Amino acid sequence: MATEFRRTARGIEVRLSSGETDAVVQVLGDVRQLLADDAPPAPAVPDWAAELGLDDLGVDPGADPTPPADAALARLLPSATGDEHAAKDFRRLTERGLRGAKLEAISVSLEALRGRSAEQAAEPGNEARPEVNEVVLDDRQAVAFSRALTDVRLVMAQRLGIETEEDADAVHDWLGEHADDDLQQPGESHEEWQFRLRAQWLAQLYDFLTWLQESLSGVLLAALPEDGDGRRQPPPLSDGD
Amino acid sequence: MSSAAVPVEDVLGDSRTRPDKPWVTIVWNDPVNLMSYVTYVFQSYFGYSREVAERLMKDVHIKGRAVVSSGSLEEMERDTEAMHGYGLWATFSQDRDPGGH
Repeated sequence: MATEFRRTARGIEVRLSSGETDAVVQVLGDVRQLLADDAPPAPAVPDWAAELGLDDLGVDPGADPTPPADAALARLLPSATGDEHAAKDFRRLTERGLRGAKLEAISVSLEALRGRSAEQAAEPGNEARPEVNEVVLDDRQAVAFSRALTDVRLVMAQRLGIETEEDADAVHDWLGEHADDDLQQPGESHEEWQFRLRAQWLAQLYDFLTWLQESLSGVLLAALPEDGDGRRQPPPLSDGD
Repeated sequence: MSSAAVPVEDVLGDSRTRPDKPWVTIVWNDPVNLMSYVTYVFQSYFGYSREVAERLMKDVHIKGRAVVSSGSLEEMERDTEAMHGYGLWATFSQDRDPGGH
């Protein structure tokens, strides 16, 4: 049902069904929960700092510098270097900001996904929820959505057990084999059947989000000039390392 | 004491004594990130040309990792943080060829 992302006079558009919108909104909400729940509490500002008006020292002496226990969250907030001490320092200084930025991208995305369909529902004679959700993004929302899609796909891949490219191919193939097997199969227990349905739903949604992100990346890339802007010196051609 | 001029090479020393060996940012391959997305990130964040961005993306994909920038430690920490913001897995180090994770 969904169309690909395309650039039009209105902005960057995509058309989703209400069911597709619901599914995307659900997983965005799940990842938002994952990022927000585990967040360490804001540090108490010592009195001497508060008196000087230093509300945000930018350093979290009480923040947990160890990687998140949840494997999916750890992939969203990975260790930045091999040296454990340096990695902890880096995490202490940057994790809160990174979480905040990822949460912001999800918020912007949720707002963009709900926005149009809420407008359409508000039109007189249109009280029933429209089957088609026409999403129109501006450039800022498009970048935010591509980042949020990445984070959601990273979490979903971890839940699907995808660790290598071979795993990703295997999940895709498995889905192809079971595409029409919604019914309980002979020899399959109730639990196995329910587990399989959930896994199928997750894998199907992962494929769909991958397809969405591919088309969005294409639209974003097409807007960039071929030539670099010379800000940064590219690394030299690798000499066979 | 001799008043002979000291050869320039003796004054500069060899490369091992040069301070501030450059730091690098390395992006590691993962099975989730799309080639088009990685190219987009490299082009838009670093301002590299499409050609350079694609070359780096292919290196990540085929070799498992690629050095995407080099400079001071502070710059590399900034780049690494930015890459994490985009969902890429990046690390900073002074070693261009660190052991895989």
